[in-house]
Amino acid sequence: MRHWLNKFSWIILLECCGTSRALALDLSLGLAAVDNMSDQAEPAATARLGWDGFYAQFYYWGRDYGPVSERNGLLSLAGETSVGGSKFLVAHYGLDLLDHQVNLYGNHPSRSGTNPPTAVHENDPNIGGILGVALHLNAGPLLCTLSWDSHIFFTGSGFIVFLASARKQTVSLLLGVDL
Amino acid sequence: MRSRRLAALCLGAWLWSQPAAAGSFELVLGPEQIGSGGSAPIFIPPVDPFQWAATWVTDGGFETMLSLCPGLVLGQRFKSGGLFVSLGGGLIIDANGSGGGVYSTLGYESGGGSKGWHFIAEYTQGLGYKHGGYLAPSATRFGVIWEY
Repeated sequence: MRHWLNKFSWIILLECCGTSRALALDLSLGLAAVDNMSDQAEPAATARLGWDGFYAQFYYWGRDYGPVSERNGLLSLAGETSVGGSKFLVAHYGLDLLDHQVNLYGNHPSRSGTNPPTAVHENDPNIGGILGVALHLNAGPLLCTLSWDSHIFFTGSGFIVFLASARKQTVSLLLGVDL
Repeated sequence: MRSRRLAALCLGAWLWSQPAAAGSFELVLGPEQIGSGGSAPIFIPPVDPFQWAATWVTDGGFETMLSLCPGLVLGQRFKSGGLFVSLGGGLIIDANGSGGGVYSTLGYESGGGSKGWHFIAEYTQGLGYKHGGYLAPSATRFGVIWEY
């Protein structure tokens, strides 16, 4: 029985290797601007792994101001479809996972000095959708991607009743290689 | 004066000729994000002018959108079945001001392009430049489209 299981696992492994060779993988790194629903944007680092009309892209950004530290991680899992039959222009649609963390460090007493120092750690995950467009330019194995996306997050019952949503818009420039 | 009359005559003739050609007109409504922070609910009743948009699309896919979000824009619509993508530019408007910029729309239209009234859902985002900052309005809208 174990012999057959071993044989079976080898078959699966070989099948996976065969499949991965057929996949058109690309890996890119770059910079992004993330809007914070005002007229200013925050810089972010981003990485993208693409395969056969799908991609996963991760954005990471944050800032420190006084005792407050803010960090954000956004993972997009999306599909791409050609716009007007173009080889270069694609539309994005998919799912977003956002983790927003805020840390308030406790070595800063309140202004009056009467309250004891406090530490606050907030972690707010959220699920949303991504819609956007991108331009892919290839030169041999090199790949340049200019991507413009909206990440739309639902606001619980507010979304059901009033279609209320929150949004982060990203513009990213990535350079990478076709693997 | 004569050239103005001639221009008006040409414009009138062009507009008069348009309904004879195929095209579509859509009217959509939905919550917008205009760079003022917070989540954006839809108004009930829908009295917020930022939530409305009217778009005229010619047979060749050239579209003209009249709205306060993302603004007054011209673009090209690419259709694939019921799905469509529009790209273009114009005057981008949000709560922080107005300026030149680009826009994109992703949407779905029922009816597969057949004549008559159909349902339409679309998401529009704009990106514009203004002195000292930028403009990033967007809107999720639903409505009707009349294909003629």
